[in-house]
Amino acid sequence: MILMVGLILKRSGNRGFVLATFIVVAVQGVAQPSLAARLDEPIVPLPATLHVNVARADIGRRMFHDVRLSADGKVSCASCHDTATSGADGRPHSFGFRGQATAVNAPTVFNAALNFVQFWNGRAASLEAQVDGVVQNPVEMGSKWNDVVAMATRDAFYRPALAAAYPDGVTKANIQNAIASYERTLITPNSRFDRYLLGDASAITAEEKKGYAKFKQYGCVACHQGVNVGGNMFQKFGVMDDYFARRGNPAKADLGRFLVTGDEDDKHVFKVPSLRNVALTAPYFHDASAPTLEAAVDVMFRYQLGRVASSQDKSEIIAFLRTLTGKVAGKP
Amino acid sequence: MMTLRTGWLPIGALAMVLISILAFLYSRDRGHDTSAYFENAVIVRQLKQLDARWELDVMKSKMGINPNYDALVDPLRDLTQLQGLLRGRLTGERHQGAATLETVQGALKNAVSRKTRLIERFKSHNSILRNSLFFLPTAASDLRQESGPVGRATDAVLLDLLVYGQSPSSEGATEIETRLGALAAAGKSQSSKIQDDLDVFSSHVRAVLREQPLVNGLLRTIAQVPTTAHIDEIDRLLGDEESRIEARVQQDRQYLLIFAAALVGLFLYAAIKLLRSHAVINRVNRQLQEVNAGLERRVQERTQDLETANTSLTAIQAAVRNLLDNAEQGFLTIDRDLGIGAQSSAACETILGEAPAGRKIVELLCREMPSDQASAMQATLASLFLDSSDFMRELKLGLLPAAFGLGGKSIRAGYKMLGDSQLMLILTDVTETTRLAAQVERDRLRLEMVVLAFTESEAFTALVEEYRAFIGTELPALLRQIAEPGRVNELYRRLHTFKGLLAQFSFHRSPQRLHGFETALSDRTSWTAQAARQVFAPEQLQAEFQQDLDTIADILGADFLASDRRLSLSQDQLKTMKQVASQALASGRELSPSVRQLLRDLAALGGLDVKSALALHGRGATALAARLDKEVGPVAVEGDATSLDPQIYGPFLNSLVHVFRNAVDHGIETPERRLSAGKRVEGNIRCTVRQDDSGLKIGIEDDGCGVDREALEAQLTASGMPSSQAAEIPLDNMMFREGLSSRDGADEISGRGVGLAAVKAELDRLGGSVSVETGQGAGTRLCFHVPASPKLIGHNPACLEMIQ
Repeated sequence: MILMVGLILKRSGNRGFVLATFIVVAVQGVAQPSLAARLDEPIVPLPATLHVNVARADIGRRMFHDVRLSADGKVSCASCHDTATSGADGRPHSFGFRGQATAVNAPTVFNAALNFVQFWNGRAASLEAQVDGVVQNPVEMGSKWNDVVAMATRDAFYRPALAAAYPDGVTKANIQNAIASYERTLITPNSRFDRYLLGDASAITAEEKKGYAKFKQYGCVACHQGVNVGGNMFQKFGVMDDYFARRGNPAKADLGRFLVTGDEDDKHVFKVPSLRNVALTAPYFHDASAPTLEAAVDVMFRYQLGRVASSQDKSEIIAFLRTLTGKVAGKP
Repeated sequence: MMTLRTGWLPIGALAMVLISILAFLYSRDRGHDTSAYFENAVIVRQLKQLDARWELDVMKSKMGINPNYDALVDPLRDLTQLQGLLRGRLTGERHQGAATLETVQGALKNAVSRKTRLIERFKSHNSILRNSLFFLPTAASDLRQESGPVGRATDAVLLDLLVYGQSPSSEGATEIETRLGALAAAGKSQSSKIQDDLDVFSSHVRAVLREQPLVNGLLRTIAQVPTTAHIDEIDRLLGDEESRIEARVQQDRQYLLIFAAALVGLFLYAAIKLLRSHAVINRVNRQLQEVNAGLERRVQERTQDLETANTSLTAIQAAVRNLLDNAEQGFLTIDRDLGIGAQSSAACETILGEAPAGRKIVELLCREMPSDQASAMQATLASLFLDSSDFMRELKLGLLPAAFGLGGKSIRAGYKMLGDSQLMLILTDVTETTRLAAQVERDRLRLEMVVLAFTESEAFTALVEEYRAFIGTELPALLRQIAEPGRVNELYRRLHTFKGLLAQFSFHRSPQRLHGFETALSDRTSWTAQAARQVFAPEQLQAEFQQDLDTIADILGADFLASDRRLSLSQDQLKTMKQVASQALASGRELSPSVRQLLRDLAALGGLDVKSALALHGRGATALAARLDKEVGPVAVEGDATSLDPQIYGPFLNSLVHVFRNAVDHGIETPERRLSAGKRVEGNIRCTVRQDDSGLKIGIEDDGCGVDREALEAQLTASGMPSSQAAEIPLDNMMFREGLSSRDGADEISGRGVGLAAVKAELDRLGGSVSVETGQGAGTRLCFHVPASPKLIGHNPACLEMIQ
């Protein structure tokens, strides 16, 4: 790496230097997490900040709560992803444009920036793409980007603010980026478990430690791992047993990833959701079929792990799961 | 000059070509930026590295070295980013194989997305596999604890699974399935817990069976995804292109160098050429300057020559002009249209009365001619120029009038043809000449008349008497009777006769008048007495006749005519008669007074009259004066009449001519001098004659300039006499000395110093004396005193005899 940098510097001058630095930083910055006290733990603590542009995040914040993004002017991002509470609306299905019910349970916006894709079926590769999809979704906001852009251009705050924050002013991409920038600020670091991971052994109780051990032992951690305790892979819902057959009422949304890739093998494959702040984001699963953590854990054990666990194990695991609740701007 | 300019054209064209080539090469290579390539290469390497690490992380995850799948997620983002960056850069740069690059990049993108999907699936299956694999030993040990044989069976399955895990095969799978079936059958007899555990165990075994080949296959497939190949391809393409470009740039640099050198050489060549041409120009310039200077010098010399020639020409012209103008003849030229040329002698203006240049000759010359004559002359002149033969010309020139009257002057014209286009006229004012000729003619006639009168004196006198009688009586009677028939004819005859007779004697005016009378008479046939009296006035005839006679009287004396008839006497006869008369007077005989008078008259015959002699000299003097362009009035001679013996006094009186000649020549000044001296232009010579008992006194005085005594003295001193001695000599002595003259050189008239000496000699012979009174600028008076002596013959003829 250093040799490369040296080579680049020698050959090319300022431009090359900047590029090389970028590459180095990018690669280095990505190859390893920003903080890792215990390298062998499958769960990694959240970074303190994701380093976003404050001006853009501010625009995004206003837009996130702006109902004018929707066609009828009643639905904003915050309608379904309420940042005041858990980042989701606590309802099994949310009500979007003209009060239509969404097909799936709204995932939390908190730490969504650390998911590798967005939506249950991973159709949005980035937060911006997710904003794009939501605005146009006839069920959710039912709006058109032209209208949104026009609204933003007319608005006395958005236009100058966007013009100031972005070189090309009011565009769809910039609006998406602004909202995404805001969402990137919505991370919840300093959960008790994160503190424990960072070296504070007293951050969690013994039960919670046992729960974490069991979490790993039973193999929950196989999928719910990484910085976001999940959110970095797809998995079939119903690995060991057919969940949907048992549940019944097959819906289109149940097809999951198949709706994106068209691959047979991707049927009932969903993005593994993040378990951070899971204690706050009931109901669980895409169909909101598990109203409580206990129910969710049961489902997981049965259909994903194919294991039988004692209730004590389960409660310990649940206790552990509760430690994953972080703080937003200081408050949980 | 043309070659020089065209010589520059190829140089210029070549230079332009070279410059354009250089510019092209330079611009082509300037755009090439190696740093871009290196940056691209870096990106590509990074891509490769990321890709490699990705695969490595996949392996690591499979093997469990990676605790979580975050490492498998991040590369995708970076790969996408880098790919986008590369794509952006490559599209921004101009690449030869852009299409190929695009294709490869697209292929890479596809490969990456495929790899992503595969890795996603790997993640999914790997986690299941690992979970199951991780759980199976625990499950087997649990089963072992619960039931021995079941545990042994599960161990066997586990073992088989392990083997299967190393190299999955369908036989292994079926065998394990068989064992599982056997295990299930064996577990039927066991407790539900064991059965449940067995179920769980079996499901996990099956999961492994299922997932293991999947994972292995995925891994293989992942490894086979040709991302590396594509990245290498991109690298290779870029590298090839870069090396190509490098090579081309190198080549271009070489060409650049060569062409630049060529251009420099061209410029050098051009510079040398310029310098040379500059040198040539300078040289030529210098030469031109020299030539110019030489030319200027020559021009100056030529100009000077021309100027001198001009001045000499002008001088010649002036001299010629001078000659012509002083010729007192008018020379002019006329051309074809009878206009007078610009150059003519000065006399033309005087003759023609105005400046002749440019005027028409006929206008000026034929002013006083009758118009028909003038037009005839004009026609002749005009036709003169049209002729080409000399003969015709001569003929016509002869036709032209030779004499013109202009402004009271007589002009004689001569003609000469100059070439073909000019006629020269020579005008001479012959007024004076004509007048003189006329005068000469008149004098000739007069002399002729005189001679005839003298030689045919008897006939002359008779004619005079006759004509006088005619005028006096016959003519008036005829005129009174003119009306009578035949009188006219008779008058005519008489007039005609007298005309002829008078003309015979060369009478001047009378014949002319008679001719006029004849003409008048013949004009009319009938006359009245009164008319005739008026026309043919006898008084007129008489007056003119008298005038004619006066001419003779002037010369021959009044007496000549006064006497009716003349008688000639020879000298001997006269001498005899005088002797006899003297003797008779001296004899003492008693003579009557009248006879005594007659004898005295006879004795006095042939005596010299001093006054007449002096008058004669006087006439000579006036004539001489005229010849010398001096003006002397008629010499007045007054005093007593004398009659002297010519033989005694003749020589002395004759010698007095010198006095007169001297008076005119030396004494009387030129009119200019007289005028400047305040005298009258006309000089005056006066003679007095006194005769008394002491003798004869003759005084001759003039009002000239007086005797120049100093000149006479100078001559004396020049001949050797001391000046003091010369000053002593009295004037009269000096004047009459032989060989002395107040003039240095003798001319025809006087100056030899002889004339007055002769006078003196004669005077001395006579015993006379002379006194001189002279005043400078006032005049000279000479008084001769000839003593009275028996020689002086007054009325004593006897003395005459004694001397002789």
